[in-house]
Amino acid sequence: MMEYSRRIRTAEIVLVTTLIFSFIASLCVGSYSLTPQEVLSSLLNDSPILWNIRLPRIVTSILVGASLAVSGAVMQCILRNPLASPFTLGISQGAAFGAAFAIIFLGAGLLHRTGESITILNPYLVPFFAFLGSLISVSVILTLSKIRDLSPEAMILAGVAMASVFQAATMLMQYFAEDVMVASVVFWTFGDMGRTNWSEIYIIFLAFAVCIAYFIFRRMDYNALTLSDETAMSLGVNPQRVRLEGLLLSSFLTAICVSFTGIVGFVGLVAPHSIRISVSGDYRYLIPFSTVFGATLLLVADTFGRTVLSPVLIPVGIITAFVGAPVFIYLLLRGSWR
Amino acid sequence: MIAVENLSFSYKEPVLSGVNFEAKEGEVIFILGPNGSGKTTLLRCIAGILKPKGAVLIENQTLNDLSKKDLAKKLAYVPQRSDTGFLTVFDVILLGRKPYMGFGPTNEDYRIVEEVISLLNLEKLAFRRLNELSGGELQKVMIARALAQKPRILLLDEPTNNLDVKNQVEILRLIRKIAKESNVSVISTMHDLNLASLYADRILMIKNGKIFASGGIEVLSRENIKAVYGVDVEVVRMNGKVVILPGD
Repeated sequence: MMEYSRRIRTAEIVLVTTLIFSFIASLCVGSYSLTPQEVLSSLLNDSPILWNIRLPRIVTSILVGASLAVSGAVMQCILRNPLASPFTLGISQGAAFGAAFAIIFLGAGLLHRTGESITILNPYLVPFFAFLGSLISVSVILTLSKIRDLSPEAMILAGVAMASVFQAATMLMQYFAEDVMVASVVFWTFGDMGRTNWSEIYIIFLAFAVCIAYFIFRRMDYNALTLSDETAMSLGVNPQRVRLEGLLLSSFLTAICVSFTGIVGFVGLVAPHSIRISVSGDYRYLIPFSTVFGATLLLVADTFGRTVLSPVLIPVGIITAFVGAPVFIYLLLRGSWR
Repeated sequence: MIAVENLSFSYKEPVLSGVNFEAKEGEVIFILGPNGSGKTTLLRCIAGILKPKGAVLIENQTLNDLSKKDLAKKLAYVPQRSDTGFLTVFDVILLGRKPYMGFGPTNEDYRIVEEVISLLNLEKLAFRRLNELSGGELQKVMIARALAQKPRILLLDEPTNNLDVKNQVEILRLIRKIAKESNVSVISTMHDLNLASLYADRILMIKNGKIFASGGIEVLSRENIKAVYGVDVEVVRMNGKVVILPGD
């Protein structure tokens, strides 16, 4: 008892402190370094570097990291699969398809080069279509599972199928598109935390707040589902309902994040599994802890990406995969994974 | 306490037809029958997981009168298999309090979990993870989870499956103790006829979805076993107990 509650308590303190520390550190570093005192005074003085560039980027990283991590934690439970992540149901491929469609056919992505950085013009068309694309694949799977009572395994396979359909469709469009457009589609798919402005951040925040409140409300139902559907039912839980609602919300949250920032892999896998292995698999702790850890992970990765080869920015999606995978394998070897 | 009246269930083909029986307070009933005879389906119907025709009355209320939550306060079900995972034993037993919870567990819930843990001597395992437990330990934890529900009726699906003799005896003694001390009706499926004869108050023999015979251990006769399982056995009586030996 003592040891277990101490482990929980320690994890709580370590995770929150790391997040706060990473937040302060990432405000200070960048192409224009600041001391913590300077950061504070610039924040109070409405400094444009902080308020318009650094802070939105940091807040986006935190929100997107938290959202992807908590969606992953929930999906692994309701789909009964440790490999489930926000992207298992073809959400990212759907988003990429939507973005490619908007860029290639609607001309949303006319490239605009200034020196080394590339930006996509017409900022709203691409996220909107990316969001539509990811919702298509989610709604196909949810509808199928509603009318045919699909098992979690069948849902995952349906997700894999949707993913390859979207991938093929995207490649087809790219095959016939002009080089410039293909370049901007590829560029879009690299997850990048620097694309959002404050009003987009509010949208992500709103979605995140609604979803996490719901997930926390359902935490004991998720615990029951990890045993078996039958056991959950005998405890008064409705597995079908919990599963559908959870899938709907976690997919929706992921779709919103992806459409504003592009694709960031691995956070939804690494964060929840790290917590499961090193702290607890109890959803009462797993949900808040993975959320905080996911936020920290993405924030650190993004800060690393924008400082390590400064002034060149390395997209955060590349970093999460490079750093996340070895850490993940280490945890698997160390942990009691059976 | 619990009455099953004219219960029938079909998937595509009928699995159960016209099943009638009652269980009194503190009674231990074992359901015997070959694989595929409908034992597990019967438990699932009683547990409210499947929707059968006919009626299941629990303290004079039908399953339809009870909400899922209220049912879970009266009746606990331990399926044959549960997934393991990263939950601790304590977390799993706490799930037994789920039907009583509003937003989250209360101190009362924690108190009951600790009570059940000490009743089943699970103190040493309390903060181990499910995926680190042996088969016998896991079964005990699942029974503990069911007991935390404070049920009036306990349904068990092959509780001694895959356990060694020591664990089988331990689990069956525990089940009897719970039934007698807390006045819980226990309805359990079983494969081992000898063990069933040792721990049952009453035995139901099921064949092709119908009750073939019901009563004390005297129903475990040569003729009944031949009719239900299609196997020739010898039934030896020793000190008021029966021993069933498969013949040649």
